Amino acid sequence: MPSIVPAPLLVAAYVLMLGSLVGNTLVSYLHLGRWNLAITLFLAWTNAVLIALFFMRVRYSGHLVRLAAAAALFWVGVMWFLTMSDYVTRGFL
Amino acid sequence: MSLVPERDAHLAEQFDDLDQQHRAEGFGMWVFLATEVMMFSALFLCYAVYRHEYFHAFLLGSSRQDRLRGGIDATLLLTSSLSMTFAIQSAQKKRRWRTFVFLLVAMGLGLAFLGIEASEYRAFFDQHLFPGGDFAVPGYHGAALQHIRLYFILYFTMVSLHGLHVAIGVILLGFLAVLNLVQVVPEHETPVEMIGLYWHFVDIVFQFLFPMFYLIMR
Repeated sequence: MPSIVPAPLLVAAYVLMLGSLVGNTLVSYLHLGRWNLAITLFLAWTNAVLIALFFMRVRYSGHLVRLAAAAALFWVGVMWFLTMSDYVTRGFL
Repeated sequence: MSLVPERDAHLAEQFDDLDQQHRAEGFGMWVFLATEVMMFSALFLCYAVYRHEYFHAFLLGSSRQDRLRGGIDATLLLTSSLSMTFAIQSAQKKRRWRTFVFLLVAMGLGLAFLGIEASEYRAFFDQHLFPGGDFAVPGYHGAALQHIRLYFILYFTMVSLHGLHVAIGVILLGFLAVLNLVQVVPEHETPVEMIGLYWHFVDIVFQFLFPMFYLIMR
């Protein structure tokens, strides 16, 4: 049977994610140049990772599940890296 | 006396034991979610390319967003995800009424999310910001107007596609809640777990949609 994640841990992850949402909103009012996007993405990814690890229980799952999740991120990464390296270096759309 | 050991009623013919079946079901669901990640990622990539090219147009488009409603949407989905997690764990512990309540809460929050999105869409229609024939932004014409229109095309495409996923999820949750009520689900908690994975994925997508469309630097 799949493991039971302790309720306090789930609530703690939830509170952390709410804080991240609020933080993301507050950061958007600051003029930090390129750092705005970097911080925004970092906080969004933090939430995504917390949901995956604790709500979707990847942390407690076997190798197959982790392989599927990692494969998705890998192929998405390939698509992003190749596409963005093209568009940001050629000076036209 | 039969020489063939008895098999669990929920064990399908092709699996040796329930554990193997459960691992296969989970893997299958994750492979489906991987395809969904790739679909949304392609749209986010389209967004990234055009945001890089027409940043000021995207800045202007984002300034027309209602952050409060967007933030409430994100919070509703996050809370709904938490409720779904508790529903899964209640189903694992065979707690029928607890599972039912948590499923209803998750479903209700999902419906509230859709209601708030509908009100946002209504506001955009009233302000002529839906990228249709009467799209207009005071003071902007020609190419500059088309770039702002591009922001709203991406907004409506991606948020609507996500909203469709939420709507499908709400229907599945309702279906699960009914199954739980007639005591089919607590005997076999896997459907709750699998639909829970889908619901959490939908939540993850909005964790990216919210900052990308609503929180471009003011």
